[in-house]
Amino acid sequence: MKSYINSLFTDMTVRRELKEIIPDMTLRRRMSAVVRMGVSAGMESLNDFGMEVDAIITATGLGCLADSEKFLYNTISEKEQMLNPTPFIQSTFNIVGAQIAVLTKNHGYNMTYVHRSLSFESALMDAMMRLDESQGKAVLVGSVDEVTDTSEEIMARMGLLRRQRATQGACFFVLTAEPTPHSVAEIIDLEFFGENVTKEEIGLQNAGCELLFTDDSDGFNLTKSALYIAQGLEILKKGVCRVVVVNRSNERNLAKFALTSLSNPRL
Amino acid sequence: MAVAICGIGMISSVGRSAEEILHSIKNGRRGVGRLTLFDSVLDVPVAQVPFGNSELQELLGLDRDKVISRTALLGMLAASDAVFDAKIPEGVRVGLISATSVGGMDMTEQFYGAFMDDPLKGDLHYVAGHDCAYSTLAIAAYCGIKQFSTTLSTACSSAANAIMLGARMLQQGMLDYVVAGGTDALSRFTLNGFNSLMILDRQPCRPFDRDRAGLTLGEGAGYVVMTCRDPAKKYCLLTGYGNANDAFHQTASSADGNGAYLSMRKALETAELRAKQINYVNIHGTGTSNNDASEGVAMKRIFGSKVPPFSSTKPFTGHTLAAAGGIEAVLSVLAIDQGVIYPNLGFANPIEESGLVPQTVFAEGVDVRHVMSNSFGFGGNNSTLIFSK
Repeated sequence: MKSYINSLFTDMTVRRELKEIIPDMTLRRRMSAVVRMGVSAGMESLNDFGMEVDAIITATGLGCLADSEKFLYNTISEKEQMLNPTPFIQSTFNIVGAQIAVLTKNHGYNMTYVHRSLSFESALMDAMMRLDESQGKAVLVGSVDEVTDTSEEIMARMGLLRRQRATQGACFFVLTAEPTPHSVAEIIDLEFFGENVTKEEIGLQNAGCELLFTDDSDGFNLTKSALYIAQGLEILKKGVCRVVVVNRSNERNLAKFALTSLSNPRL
Repeated sequence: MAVAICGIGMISSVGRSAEEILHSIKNGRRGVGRLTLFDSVLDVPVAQVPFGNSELQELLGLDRDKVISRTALLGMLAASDAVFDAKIPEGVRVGLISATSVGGMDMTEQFYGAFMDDPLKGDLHYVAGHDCAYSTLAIAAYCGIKQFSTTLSTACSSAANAIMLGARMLQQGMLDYVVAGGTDALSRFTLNGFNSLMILDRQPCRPFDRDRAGLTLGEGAGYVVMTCRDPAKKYCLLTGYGNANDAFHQTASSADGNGAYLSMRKALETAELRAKQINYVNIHGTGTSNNDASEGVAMKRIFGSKVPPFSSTKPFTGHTLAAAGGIEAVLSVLAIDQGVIYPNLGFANPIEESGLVPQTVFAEGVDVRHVMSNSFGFGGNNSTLIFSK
C-alpha cells in the first residue's frame, strides 16, 4: 500500500490562539485540552492541505480524561442531581473527529480507535485501507492524548512514572494515495508484530535503514508513536532514504511503519 | 468476495445466549425493570443483565473474587459463544475487532469516590482496566485470538463499525476469520449522562411512538464471526455496509436525517441492492424524540412510500450503547436464518410528521432475504449494515 503524508501538524500544549482555527466561541469554550489539541492540529492540517478529505480517522489511548473526571466528580458530589451534560457529551472518545466533521461539514467516513499503544497504528491501518479500497483520495488521520493531575497521580501510584513523566500531544496529517504539493514523505509498510519480535530481527528485516524506536525518555503517552513522524521526517532530510519507526512499549516491539522521502523511492 | 457470518453470540437483559434472547422476543418478554446493579437516586427503568459480576465470572470459569470490569465479562461471554459457534479451524489467522464506549468506567467510578477525597485512597485494581482496550484484550486472551486485535469507540454505532472493519480486513486478505462486535455494561456514569441530557424515559421506551419520551438504558454484548472462506456453517452473508457523518451537532441528529440517509444509501450501494429489495429494517429506534423523528425522515427518503416492515428491538434489550450494533447484527442474522420479523413493543400511535407504523407482532415463516440494520451514535456517527441470504 503506497500512501503519502501531507500537511503534518502537531500540538503539544494548548498555547496557540485558537480563534482563527475555531471561530465559534461556544464550541471553543467547552473544549478541554485533549479536544483543543486534537481539533486545532486537525484543522490546521486540513487548512494547509486545502482540499476536501473523504474520511476522518482519529486515535486516542485514554480519551477525554478531564471531562470524564469532571462529570464523574459532579455525579458524586451533586448526588446525581441537576447535572450539567456538557462534560458527559465532551467525554465521548470520538469527539475530536466529530467536531472536525461539524466544523468542515464533512459527511464522510469517521472513525476513532482506542486501543492502548496501538491506537495510532490502528487508525493508520484503516486510513491506508480506505485509500487502497479507492474509497476516496485523501484521509485526515490523527492522534491525541492528554495528561491531567489525576491521571498523573494514578499512573505514579501504579509505578508507571518512575523513569518517565506523563506526556501529551496531538499529531494530525492528511494521507493521500497520490503525491500532492503538500506531500512531505511516503508512509508505507505498516506492520503489527503478532509474536515477540526482537530488535535484532527488525534490524535484519530493515537493513540499511535508520531505525527509530519509541523511547521511555520521551514520556508515557499511549499515542506517542505518531509524534515520532516529525523526527523521522528530519532524519529523511539528512539524506537517509528510509526511516522505520518502531512502536515499543513495556520492552515489547508492537508495530512499525516506514517513512521514505519523495525523492528516493523505496528500494 | 462474499463475507459469510459463521458464528454468533450475544447476552442481554432478555437472555444469556442468542437462543434465549430469540425465545424471549418470540414470547414478548421484555427485559426492562428496576436497577439493582448499583445505587442510584435515579428512578428509571433499565435493561440489566440478570447476573451479578461474581456469577458472570463463574459462568466464565474465572475466579469469583477477582476485580474484572463488567464490560469485559459481558464481552467474554458473547464473543466466546460466537467463537464456539463458528468452530474456527486450526492454523488460520484470526482477528478480534471489539467496540465499547463505557470501557472500564463501571470499575473506575467505584474507585473514584474514595480517590476524590484522598488521592492516596482507592484500590488501584479498579482503574487498571479503565481504558477501552482492556475489554478487547481480555476477550482476545479468553478466546485465544492472537493474530490481531483492535478497539474502536464511536458511541452507539461502535459495534456496527467493528463489523464493518472486520469485513474489510477479510476482503483485503489481511485475516482469515474475524470476530467483531461490541460490549457495554451499565454504569452510574452513563445513566447520569443520559439523565442529564433528559433523554431517559421514565417508562419503558416506546420507539417511533408519538408519545415517546426517551431511551431505556441497557447493557450487553453481541459478536459475529465472519470469513470469506466459504465455511460449512453459514447463517447468511454481510453484503453491505456504510458509515457517514451527520456533521450537524454532537448529540442531536439533523432534522432531515442526513447522516442516516447517507449511511443507508452507502450500505445499499455496497450491497448492490435497491431499497425495495430490503425485507426488514432493524432500526436504531432508541425512543428519543430526536432520533426517531430524524430516522423516520431518513427512512422515507430512502424507501419513499414503500417502507418495508421495520422495528426497534430496544424495547426488549434496552439501548446497549456500543453493544447495540453487535446485538442487533446478531438479531438481523437470525431474522434471515429463522425467517422471522421482530415486533416494536411500546408502539401505540405513529409520529405525526412521518406517519410510519412499525411491525407490532412477531412474525414467523417469512421469507426474509435482505435485512438492514441501523446504528447511530453521538458525534453524528451513522452506520448501516445489510445482511442477505
